[in-house]
Amino acid sequence: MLFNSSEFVIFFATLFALYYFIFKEKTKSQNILLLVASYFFYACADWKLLPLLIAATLVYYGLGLAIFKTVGSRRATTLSTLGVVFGIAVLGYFKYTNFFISSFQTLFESLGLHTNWHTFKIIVPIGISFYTFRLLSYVIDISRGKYEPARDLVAFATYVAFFPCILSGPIDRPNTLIPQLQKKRIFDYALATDGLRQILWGMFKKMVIADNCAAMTGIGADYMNCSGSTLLLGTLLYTLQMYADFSGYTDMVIGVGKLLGFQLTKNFACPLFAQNIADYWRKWHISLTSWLTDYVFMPLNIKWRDWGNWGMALSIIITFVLIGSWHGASWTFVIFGLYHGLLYVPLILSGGMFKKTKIETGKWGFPKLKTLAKMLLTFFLVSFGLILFRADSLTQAWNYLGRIFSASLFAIPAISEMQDKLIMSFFIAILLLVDWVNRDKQHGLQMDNIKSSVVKWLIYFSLIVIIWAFGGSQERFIYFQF
Amino acid sequence: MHKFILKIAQFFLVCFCFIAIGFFLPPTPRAKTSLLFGEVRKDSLLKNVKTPRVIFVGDSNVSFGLNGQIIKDSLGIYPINTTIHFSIGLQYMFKHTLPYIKSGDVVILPLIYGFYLDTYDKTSEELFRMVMDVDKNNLKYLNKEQILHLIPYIPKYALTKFDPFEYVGFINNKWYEVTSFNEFGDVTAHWNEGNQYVAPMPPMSGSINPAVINGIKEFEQEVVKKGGSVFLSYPCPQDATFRNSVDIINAIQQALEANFNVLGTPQRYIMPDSLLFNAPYHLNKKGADRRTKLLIEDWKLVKR
Repeated sequence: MLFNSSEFVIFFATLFALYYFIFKEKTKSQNILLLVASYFFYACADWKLLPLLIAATLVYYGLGLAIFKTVGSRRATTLSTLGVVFGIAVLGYFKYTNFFISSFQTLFESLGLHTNWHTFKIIVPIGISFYTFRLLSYVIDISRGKYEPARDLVAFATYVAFFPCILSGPIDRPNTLIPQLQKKRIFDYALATDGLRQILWGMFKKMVIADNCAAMTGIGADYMNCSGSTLLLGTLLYTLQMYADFSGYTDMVIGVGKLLGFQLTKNFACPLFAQNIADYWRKWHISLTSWLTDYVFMPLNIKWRDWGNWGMALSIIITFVLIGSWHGASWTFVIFGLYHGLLYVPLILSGGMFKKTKIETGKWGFPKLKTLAKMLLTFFLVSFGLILFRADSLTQAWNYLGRIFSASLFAIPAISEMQDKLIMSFFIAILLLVDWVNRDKQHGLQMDNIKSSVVKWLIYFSLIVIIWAFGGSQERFIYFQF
Repeated sequence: MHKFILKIAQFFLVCFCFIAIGFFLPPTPRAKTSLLFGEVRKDSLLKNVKTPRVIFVGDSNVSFGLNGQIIKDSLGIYPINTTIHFSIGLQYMFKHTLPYIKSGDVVILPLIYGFYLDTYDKTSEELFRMVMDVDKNNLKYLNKEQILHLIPYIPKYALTKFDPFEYVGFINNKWYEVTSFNEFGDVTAHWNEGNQYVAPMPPMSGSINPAVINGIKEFEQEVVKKGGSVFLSYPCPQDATFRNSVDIINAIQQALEANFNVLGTPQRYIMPDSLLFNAPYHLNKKGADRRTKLLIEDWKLVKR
């Protein structure tokens, strides 16, 4: 059930009516309703693996209570370690078993050793990477004494399975969402209308930018027959597609959350305007990056602090290899992570890693040339990383790169249906302009400074017309696969 | 909450009015140049060409894969290529062709393999536009389910009426225009163009839809009632595309030979890349000539 589908509209309209009219101001009942709706939503995507989600919820609920009872003792440490190992083991089994089997098989065969191993038919549960990270942070933070466990099982289960975030995040921390689930929620007009605006902006990003870019970046198997310039254009457009797809999805998620009275974690902060790679990762998929910073990078960095910058570089490389691997069980993702980790090294050595970047603007509010150059460089670096991200194999990524940097790089890119592409460029320009103007706000359509309701409604209707008339064919969200 | 519901209602009311206006506006100039409007001329051929004649019904593998002039010269009968687009669906194609069938007509169906695995009463944006833009009378050829399935296309269709590029400055693809067809209904606009790279289609999955076989049988019975005859033929797939789905194609061949009069075999119509134009079933001039000659040979064999 995609957020931009008619099925979801019916599902959500029913939920909304029940939530605010039947269960009005009854927190417990509202939570039960949300839990049932969340399980229904998950079951629509993959009902066979719903028991796994429920079992994991019960295990971690119990673990949280047990850890809290003995917090500060060795038993608490053992239990939290058990929780982490269990979570990683489940995630590892579903996501990485076949990857390890085939990798070891290749290794042994390259050494001349014959193996008779077979990969398994394992269905990866949808959203497992997202809800496992929620559960892991829950037990780790309780053992660290950061907060008390949730005693209300319904609230905890709703936190784990909360339908807007279950499939692709954001990875809300327990102390962000559980307290909101425990307090009384009444309809908030301003929050709800802001949520609708954010959904509308998310739909524009997803349906107009991402889905149309998908038609242009789907170079597929025949990439060796495309010119270098066409592939380069496809590479740059894929970066835009990826951003519009994932941030569009997140805008819809946060908007849906607002309609139900929740403030979910912000996941994007205009990463296309990042001025270096550290800045980019502070703005891209923030909930994942901050999760790994807190639970992987910081502990490693503290452990290796005596090694100075090299210790930090090693910590960051390990963190990024994990970020890459989190996306999927493939060497392309591992190398994608390594690539980003290595891009950090010059920043660490020059002491620029933690420096907050400031956007310097000129006369018309546009970035100064130096700032723009940094943004473009970061954009290109990220785009080249995404070649690894979307490639089926390292060989394909290498050949793709080789094809880009061939003599045909200077050929005119093969662009069919030029007029449609011109319209697309116009919409991309709108996206960038709106993002730029609202870069310090929560989302692109946060219109605090527009007082005229006529102007506001004109903007809404223009967007609706654009979405309906120019929306591409409905593509799955890229991050659903993770 | 009251205010919120009221605003939402207002919002949808305005949207509804907008869509209603767009829906009833006439087709845009851009839409009028679409290949779908080729149906008007093809209908005129069906109506006016005298027997003996051979009528081709199907998808773009026929419009991009036939040279009617060769048929006319070698067999002395007038070919009418009614084919336009796969997405229009068999049900519509058959219902739309039947009223024009005359005694003595030969109808050949060289359908792309995907048809046999697909739904019989297909719906698509192309079908929607065939009804809304080309001729609203075409609505009578659709069943209730199709009409219901076409409703979701209304908002997008209506809102394109407000797109300025639908009126000025539009550039269509010259191979997919109303003017791309010759006097027999074959697409010839690409005959002087160079070949494009054609990626093979992935393996087909699924099984033969009995509703499609029954639909063809019903069509055949209706044609026979009117004094005509129906033959099935095979499409002209790219070599690699054929190899990707050879098992399913064999199953389709068996099903067709068991139920219908069939011309040739699937293997005869496999095309090398050099005879393709821009898609695994779209042929260039040489390809169209070769396919036409093969079809004539198979036809002569049956006639003997």
